[in-house]
Amino acid sequence: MAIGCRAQQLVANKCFGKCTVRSAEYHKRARPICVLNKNVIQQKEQRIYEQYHQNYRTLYTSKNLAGTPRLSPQEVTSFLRANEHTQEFTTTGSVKSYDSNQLSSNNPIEDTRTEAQCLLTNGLLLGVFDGHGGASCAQVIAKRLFHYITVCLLPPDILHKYLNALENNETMELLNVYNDKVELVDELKILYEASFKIFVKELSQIKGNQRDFHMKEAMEKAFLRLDDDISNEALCKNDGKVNMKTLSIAMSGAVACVAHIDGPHLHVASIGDCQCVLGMLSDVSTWTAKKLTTEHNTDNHEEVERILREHPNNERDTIIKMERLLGQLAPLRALGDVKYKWSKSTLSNAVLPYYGETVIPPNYYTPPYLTACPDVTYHRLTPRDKFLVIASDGLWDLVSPLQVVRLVGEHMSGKVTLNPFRLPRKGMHISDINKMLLQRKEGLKMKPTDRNAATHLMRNALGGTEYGIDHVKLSHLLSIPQELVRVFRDDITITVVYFDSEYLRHCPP
Amino acid sequence: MYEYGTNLLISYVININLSKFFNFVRYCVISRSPKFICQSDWLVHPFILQHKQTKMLFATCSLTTAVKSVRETTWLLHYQNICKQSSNGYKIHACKKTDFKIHAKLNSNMAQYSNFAMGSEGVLPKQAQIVICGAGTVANSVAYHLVQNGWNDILVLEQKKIGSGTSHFGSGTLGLFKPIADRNLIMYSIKLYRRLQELGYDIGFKQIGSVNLAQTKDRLIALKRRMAYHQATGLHCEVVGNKELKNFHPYLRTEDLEGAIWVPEDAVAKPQAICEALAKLAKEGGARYVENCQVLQVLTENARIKGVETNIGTVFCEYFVNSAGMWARDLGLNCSPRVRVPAIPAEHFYVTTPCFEPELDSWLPCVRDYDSHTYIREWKGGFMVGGFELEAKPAFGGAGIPEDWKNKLPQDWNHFMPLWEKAIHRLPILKDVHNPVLTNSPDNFTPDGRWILGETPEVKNYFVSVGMNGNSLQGAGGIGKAVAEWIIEGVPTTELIPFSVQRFLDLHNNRQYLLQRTREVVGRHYSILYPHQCEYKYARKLRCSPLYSVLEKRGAVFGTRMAYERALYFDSTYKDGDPLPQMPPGSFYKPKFFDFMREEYLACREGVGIIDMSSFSKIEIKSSGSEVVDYLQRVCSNDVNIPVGGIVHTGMQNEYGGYENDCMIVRQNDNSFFMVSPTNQQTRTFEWMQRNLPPDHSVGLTDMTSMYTVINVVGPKSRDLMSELSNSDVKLHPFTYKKVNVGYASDVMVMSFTHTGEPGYCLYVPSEYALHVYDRLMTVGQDYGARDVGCLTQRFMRIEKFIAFWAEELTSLTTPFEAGAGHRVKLDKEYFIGKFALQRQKEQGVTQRLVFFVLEDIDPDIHIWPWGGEPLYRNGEFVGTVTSAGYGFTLDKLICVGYIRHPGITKGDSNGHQIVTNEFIMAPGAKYEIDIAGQRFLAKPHIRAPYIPHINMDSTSCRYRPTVVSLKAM
Repeated sequence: MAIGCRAQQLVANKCFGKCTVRSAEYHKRARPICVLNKNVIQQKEQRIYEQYHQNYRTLYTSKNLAGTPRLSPQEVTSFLRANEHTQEFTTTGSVKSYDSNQLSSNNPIEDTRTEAQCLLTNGLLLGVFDGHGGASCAQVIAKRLFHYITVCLLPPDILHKYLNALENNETMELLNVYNDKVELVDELKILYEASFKIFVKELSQIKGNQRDFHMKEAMEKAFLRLDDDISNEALCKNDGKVNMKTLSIAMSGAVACVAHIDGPHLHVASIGDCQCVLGMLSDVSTWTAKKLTTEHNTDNHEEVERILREHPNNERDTIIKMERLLGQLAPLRALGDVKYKWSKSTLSNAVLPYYGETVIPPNYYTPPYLTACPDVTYHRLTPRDKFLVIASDGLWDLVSPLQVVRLVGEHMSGKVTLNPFRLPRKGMHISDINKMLLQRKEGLKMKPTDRNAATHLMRNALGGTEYGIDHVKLSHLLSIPQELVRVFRDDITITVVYFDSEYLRHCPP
Repeated sequence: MYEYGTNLLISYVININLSKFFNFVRYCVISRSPKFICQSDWLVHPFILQHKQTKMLFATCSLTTAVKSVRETTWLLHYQNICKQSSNGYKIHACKKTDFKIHAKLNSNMAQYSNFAMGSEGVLPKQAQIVICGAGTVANSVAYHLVQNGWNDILVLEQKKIGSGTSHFGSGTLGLFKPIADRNLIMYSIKLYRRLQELGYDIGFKQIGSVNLAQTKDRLIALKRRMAYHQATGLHCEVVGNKELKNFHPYLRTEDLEGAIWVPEDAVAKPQAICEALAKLAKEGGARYVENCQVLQVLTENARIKGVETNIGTVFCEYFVNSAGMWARDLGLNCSPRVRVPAIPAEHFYVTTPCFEPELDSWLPCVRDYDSHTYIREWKGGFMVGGFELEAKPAFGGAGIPEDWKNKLPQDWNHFMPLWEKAIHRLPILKDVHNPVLTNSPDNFTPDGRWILGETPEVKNYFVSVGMNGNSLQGAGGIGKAVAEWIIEGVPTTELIPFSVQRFLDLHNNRQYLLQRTREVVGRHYSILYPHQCEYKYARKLRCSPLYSVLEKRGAVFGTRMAYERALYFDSTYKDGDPLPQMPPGSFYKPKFFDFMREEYLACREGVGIIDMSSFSKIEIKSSGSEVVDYLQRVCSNDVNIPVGGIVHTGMQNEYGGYENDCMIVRQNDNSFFMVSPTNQQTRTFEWMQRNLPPDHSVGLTDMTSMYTVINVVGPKSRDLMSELSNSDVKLHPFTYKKVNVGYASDVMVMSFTHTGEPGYCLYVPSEYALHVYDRLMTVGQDYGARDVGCLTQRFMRIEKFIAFWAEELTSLTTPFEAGAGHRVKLDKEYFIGKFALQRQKEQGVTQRLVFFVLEDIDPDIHIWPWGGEPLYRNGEFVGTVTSAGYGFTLDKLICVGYIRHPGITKGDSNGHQIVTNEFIMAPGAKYEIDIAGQRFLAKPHIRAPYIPHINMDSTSCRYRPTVVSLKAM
């Protein structure tokens, strides 16, 4: 049976997520970093989930998955759509709109996402962050990373203005964040503001930093600095006491994929195994996928070589074990995860007392083993680039980039039929109207259930078979009990960005 | 020109251009300045003396023409003086030898000529240096001016009697209020006629002045624009209000007028009397007239005049002037090769009234009521009312001119009635006139309403001066002088490009074409000719690019140049199936289609602009050996010995350094070149190049204009588009070309330059592939923001880049140094035509310089635009005229270019400070102004085009920089 095979595969390949050390201690000691105990994402899903399990409690046995009563199509849909968000842009620019959605597997969900408009420079930032070893790092990064990137993009004069505003406590917003439902606790907010201010100050002291601006350097600087700040904040002791909040953030980790879009300029910075894929329509109307990221995992030969090169030869056999860094961590680059970055002594002093012996990875000789330095790729958008999909590995485990592009492509043409037919202009010839209607008829065949492309992707990734969506499969995957669900599916976060071809046709180079 | 003397002569000798040498010496020595010989040292220049033929030549030339000249003796005296004074051995030697020969030849010539002197005028001589066909006012004027210049071996042949053609007709008005080139000639005419009057001829010359009426605001602008350059160049004219107008002409109805221009120097004269007076003076000067002699055939030898065959015998001659008026076109055809004289007669009417009671004041000014298409003058105590009707009729029903043509001039009152009614409206007094007489006086009209002058491209030494367009009198004087000097000098001495006979192709001479075109040409004389917005209605769609039909469907609005339909702009709102877009009514302000032009500009600046440039003339130049390189090196001022695959921008100069052509030369092979020059140069440049071909036929020229369709692909995304279409690397070095496949088409020449100054490509597509390539460009180009671009936008763009253009900035009277193209002149290469003149100019400096002006305080949305022809003032003094003007899209300002001279030169006094330097132009105290229709605006001068941010074709290599959001909110 399909689900069984998939489960086996997952168990074999992934065991339990990215991080093998998933001791219960983590969760016990972790302090909530969000004001809301569980974030909103979780709550909605939970509600639907609980509702379902209340209804079918008596029938449920974990041993017999096949016997679980099916979710109704409506339940599936509401389950999938719980975290949908669509943002349309009315201002002229290359981005028309974006769809995003998340589906949790872990509890709490370890994926986070942020989309924001830069306010001082042109550009839209979209990020997907996949946490591991706890959700806290991903949550913090989702809140902080874009600020770091934005200030790195500021030309010196604007940076000074911004710094002045910071120092005089004037409000000068860097970002307009869409669909932001998470609020950090005050304690962390204050701490982070202080760190950020120091960073801005340091940036403004670099002379002529804009004169040879490179997007790559700016992105790298933002990522690395945030990683440093997280690390330093964890070590910073308040009244001689370790701040368990910051420590837990630093101990957990996150991979990230951030896209910056300004007109036709698309930059993607990525660490770890999130992926970003561009959907392109060729002039013969076929869809092609262009991967803009390379995953930093053991399948990436170059990346493995890089790590081996950075450490003494005698560690060659121990650094990568069981396709994992030091036999533990699947992604080869990540934010947080200080236990692969700090020196052994720091770990023993600062972390060992709280997390126990196991915290120091085996064969831990020449740290750091992990970096947060992103790969930055540039792509100049053309009118043939129709959309961009950024998603966590939860999606990519299930479907290939080309499948994703085709799914979104079909969805695009099918979506037309979700709106009532309207004549685009007056005085049209009947032949033109006929042409339009035929086109619509064609699209009708692909009429999707979901308006949101991210949901559409989820539905197809989970329930897709050669014959279309299999409701049985879908309902099974969505109703697996919490203890087991991680074996069958990871957290999924998808952001689909649509480009305005007409703008790209005429935009200045 | 005397300054060039020595160098020029040497160049002639080197070129073995004996006839030029011959003419020049003859001209300088005899007609103009005997002193020249005494003062200059060219006689003893080793070059001259070493040349075997020189002395002979010198002697011969002086003989043949000087024979009957009154100046002959003085000249000989001078000559002997030199011999006496000189201590130079060479000189004595030379002179003695010449002296001897002069006497010998003089005697024999005298004997020969005496035969004719005795003969009656009806007898046809065996030979003459110049034969002029026709004895109308123009022909007589040419003869008169030749005689004045000391050329008197002239034979004038007339098929009937002197002035029996159309010359005795005509209103007799002399209107100066014309475009500047016309006016200069007419101004001379007036001067000449005044002198004739002073000499005692009864020609009825009276400077009665004229009032030029404006019924509409646009007309007033048109008149004021004209007035602006007339005032600057010394013609007095002023705007008068309706009340004052009554004082000038009490009979006028003035209530419905917007204003009028008073031109006091305009005159009237009796056409017939002038015609006869000029003939008489020419005869006195030595020209012989033979009447009742019909020229049947013009004889040629090696495409050069040999003689004429008439009904009473054959005359051999060196030059032939076709001034046959209405018969000129047919005469042109009676020649092998055929000569194009595209002008046919159209019916032209005027009404004369009987004498009024009391008789009208004979000093009533002439009235030009343009908007009514009529003119009115006093005539023998009554009025004469003439018209340039909007829809004219070709004379004689469009057939040939009948033998008894004077009896076949119907009075078509029906045709003239609308004009007559308008005249009555203007002059209510005409209402009571009884028995007005309508006269049908046909005259020659040309396809563009301009005179046809100059040497024909088909036959050397065959000159034409016809196409008077209804008024032979006003042009005759100036035309006679211009053509006479052109014959003598071999090149025009004033700006005559607008009138050159070389502006035509065979198609212009097509009778069907002429019949169609003539219908509207007559009326155009009095229409408002909006700049770039006054296209012809008839005889269109003649020469079309292979893309014509496609462009038409994409909203192109066409205009013609050299009868070639070129898309002026594209109406992007046009949808296939709608009626074809038409050009909106013209305007002197912002054109009504300007928004389309801005879209087109943006495409060129940010995406891809596609421009059909197929109308450009293309010539292939080939030889079997390396002769072609030597040939091109001699005619081009730039170094054209470039690597194969290279392209070079060069001028072709005349001996004075002026432009004969401005072109791109592409080296296809070691011995094969491809030349691209402007549309209206097709005939002219071919003729020029052919004339300078080596005599041994080693170099061949082929006109390839129709073989290629030329598409400019302009803009920053053009490289990406081209590389997608060609699947190959099109990253060419500037000014190189490569043959690539585009779409499925092969062997498309892709050249890395454009005519807009923006980066991009110029595709030379074999015409059968044109549609395919265009279709691919547009289909695939959609994703690159491709858009059709018309030539008006292209024109504005090239003006903004300060790219001088043929016939506007570059003429035979302007040099590369003056036009700011000195870097394209390679003085360090071997001899080329014009080298000495340019060398001299480089050492001494230029007397005029092309300058770019930004008009800072003109609001393009409100004010009248400059369009070309506006006078430029420097600290209040007139220093030059705008050659082209337009809107600078990037600068977001109106811009213009024009030549700047020292104010002294234009005033006529040469006080030694004539050299125009950059310091002079850019002097901090200098304040430049442009006069647009009577209003002066500040103009900021630039020696080079103002900086325009460069756009890069390498979209992928340009580094991303975040752009700052405007911080107004903060």
